[in-house]
Amino acid sequence: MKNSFLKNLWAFITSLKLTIIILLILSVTSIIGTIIPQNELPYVYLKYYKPSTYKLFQLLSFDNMYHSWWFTTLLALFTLNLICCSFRRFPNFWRLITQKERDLDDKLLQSLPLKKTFRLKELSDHTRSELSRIVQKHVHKPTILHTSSDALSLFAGKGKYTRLGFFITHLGIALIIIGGIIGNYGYQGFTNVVEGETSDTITLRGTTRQKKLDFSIRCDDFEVSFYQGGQRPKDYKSNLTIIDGGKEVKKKLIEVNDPLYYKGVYIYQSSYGTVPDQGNVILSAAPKADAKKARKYKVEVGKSITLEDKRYEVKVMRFVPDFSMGKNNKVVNRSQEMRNPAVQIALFKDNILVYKKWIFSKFPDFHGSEKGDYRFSFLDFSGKEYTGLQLTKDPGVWVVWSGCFLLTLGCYLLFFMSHQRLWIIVENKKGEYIVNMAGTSNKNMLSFTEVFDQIHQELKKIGKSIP
Amino acid sequence: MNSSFFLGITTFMYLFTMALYFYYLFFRNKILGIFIKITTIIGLLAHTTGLAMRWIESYQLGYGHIPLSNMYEALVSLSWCTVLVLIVMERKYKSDILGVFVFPIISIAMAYASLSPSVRDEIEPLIPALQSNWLTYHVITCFLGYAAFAISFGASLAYLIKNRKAKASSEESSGLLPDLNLLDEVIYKANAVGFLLLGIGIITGAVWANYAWGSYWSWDPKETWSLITWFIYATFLHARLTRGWRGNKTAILSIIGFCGVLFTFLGVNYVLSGLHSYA
Ligand code: HEM
Repeated sequence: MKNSFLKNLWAFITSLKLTIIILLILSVTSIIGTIIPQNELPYVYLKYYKPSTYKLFQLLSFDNMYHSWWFTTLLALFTLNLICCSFRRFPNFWRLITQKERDLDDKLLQSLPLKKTFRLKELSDHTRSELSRIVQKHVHKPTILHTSSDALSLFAGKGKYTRLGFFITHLGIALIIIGGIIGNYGYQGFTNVVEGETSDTITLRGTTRQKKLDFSIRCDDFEVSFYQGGQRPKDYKSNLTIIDGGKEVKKKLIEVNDPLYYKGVYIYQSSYGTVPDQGNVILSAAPKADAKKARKYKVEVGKSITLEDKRYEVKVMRFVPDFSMGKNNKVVNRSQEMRNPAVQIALFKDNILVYKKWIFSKFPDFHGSEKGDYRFSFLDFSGKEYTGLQLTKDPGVWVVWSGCFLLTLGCYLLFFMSHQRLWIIVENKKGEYIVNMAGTSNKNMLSFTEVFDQIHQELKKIGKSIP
Repeated sequence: MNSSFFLGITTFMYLFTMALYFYYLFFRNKILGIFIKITTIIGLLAHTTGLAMRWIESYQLGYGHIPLSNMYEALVSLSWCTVLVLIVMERKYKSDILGVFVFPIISIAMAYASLSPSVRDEIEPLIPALQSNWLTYHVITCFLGYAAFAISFGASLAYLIKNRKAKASSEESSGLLPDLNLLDEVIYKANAVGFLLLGIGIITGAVWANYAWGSYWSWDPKETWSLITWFIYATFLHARLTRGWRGNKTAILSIIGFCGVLFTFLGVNYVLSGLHSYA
């Protein structure tokens, strides 16, 4: 009783019915996560769904379904099914591959789909070698199963290992899943490094937790280039130096699609930005009386500079890369990108504040009513940029890639290769040599039939050319 | 003469070929068969020229990328792959009527690409993450896979129609469409090829994502839908190869699979959103 229960369970776990059921369930449930946004903060869901619906989502982990207990269980069941099923069938396949082919007896002949019978005049050495040559040309070098002075039987087979295609395919899929599980022992995080500075901690993805690395990263230089006349970034690059144990151990210019690899960790170029309120501003101050006498000044943010005539002093109060007006006319910085760079300057005359105002590099003519004897424009900013780096450590990734390789190889073997077998038996019956040829292919019979017929045509001609 | 000119000609040739196919379905005629081949080839030549010129034009604009970067280019390139795979399949199976269900799809795709106001046809620069050779491998393998699935979809429709007709009026009307066994073989082979290509497409996509974003799989809707589609075809293969399903049942499975393809290609962009928001 107990035994038969286990037997039934094993039969169920290794059944193809289960495979088809799981594949269908996986397909249907995967849709949920493509419709409901994943891993968002509660307010995002509450924007679209009722609180009660959201509760239900949380209960069923629909907001993080691909890592939920039930989806993981499905995947585990799938893997179990895949592995058990493949191993249960493996011995059969192995026997098929390693067994010696038997002689073509009547029973075997009955079971083979392709058969032909014809006569030959003689079984001379010439006939024998021609037989071998033709079979070798179309299939493979034949093995002699039996030979005597007036009988011959031989076998030729090709591609028997392609029968393992299904096993290789499944092994590949299992490896991909296993690699994915191993990957959970890695981490993914982000860090922003200002040009010239060094960082050795990252913020882990999706959390606020910090992680200290066992090496540090210095950003020597950061650069972004744009497409002509636009704001679309074309490329961004960082010159990074890895410092480990106080020594510079590696340098690389990374860009999007070209990460740096060190100690099992990939460092990716992921974003960039400008640090507000740091760096140097280039201003021009033109005397209103004579605009041609404009002069350029380089001022550090937070510092001031005295103009040529010694009475005026300009202080750069603030700098923002992406100026915008928020509520109550408060200045806000919309992003870290140089979309609308602006500086706030304060002008002093004889140490008395004349005004404080914002000037914009993209809108140089935006002056308003200006007091004082000078007109200022904001020419350039050599700001401190930071590079946004993503760090990933995934110890399973090579397992995944080997799985992918096996999967592709296995499918190729399955769909485009076949195991072809051909038997030829020559017997002397009443002074005539009767040739029986028979063959089969586990797949793609259409093309093997053509090969079979071709061999038949050529064999029939043996001995005909010699009178 | 620019790329739009050639792609316009292409659309016209394909619509014309589609009409010829319909006619050919009812009035078999050797010369017409050859004529269809010729219009198909002319269409494909114009198509190839159009795509090549668009590629060159993108260099002249200073962007320099293979035409695979927005919905317009995707539709045009996908149609190109489909015509190519169709020609190969028709040769391999010595059938000259497979295209009758495929050309409507190709013509609709081309016409939709050039006429729909929601498909912008400007050449646009690529964001840095998309500037990768892996993008090219990824998209081309996926598209060739989709093309094979489109052929199998056409053959499946033909199978179902013919099977019903054959049942209704035994022998006689069966002459119009290809033989059921041949259709069944085409459905299987096209799905097997598509399955392998889509598999490679998903893998190259994963390699590229790993280079660009530092993770090979992130369950974004497009990825997930391509996996769902791949699972449907895996079900098809198992059902056919190990459980011996044939005919109607597998034809229906392969039509469901093609719905998956359509949703992966279009539905995700229009209905859902995610990383792959190139449309
Ligand atoms: C998405 C995952 C899977 C893929 C892509 C896949 C792929 C394949 C392919 C391509 C074949 C070839 C069929 C043939 O030519 O004979 C095959 C066969 C087979 N698969 Fe899967 N498979 C998957 C999952 C599974 C699972 C989970 C099982 C578990 C039972 C399974 C069981 C089998 C069996 C028993 C065969 C037949 C082997 C034979 O007798 O030739 N497959 N699989």
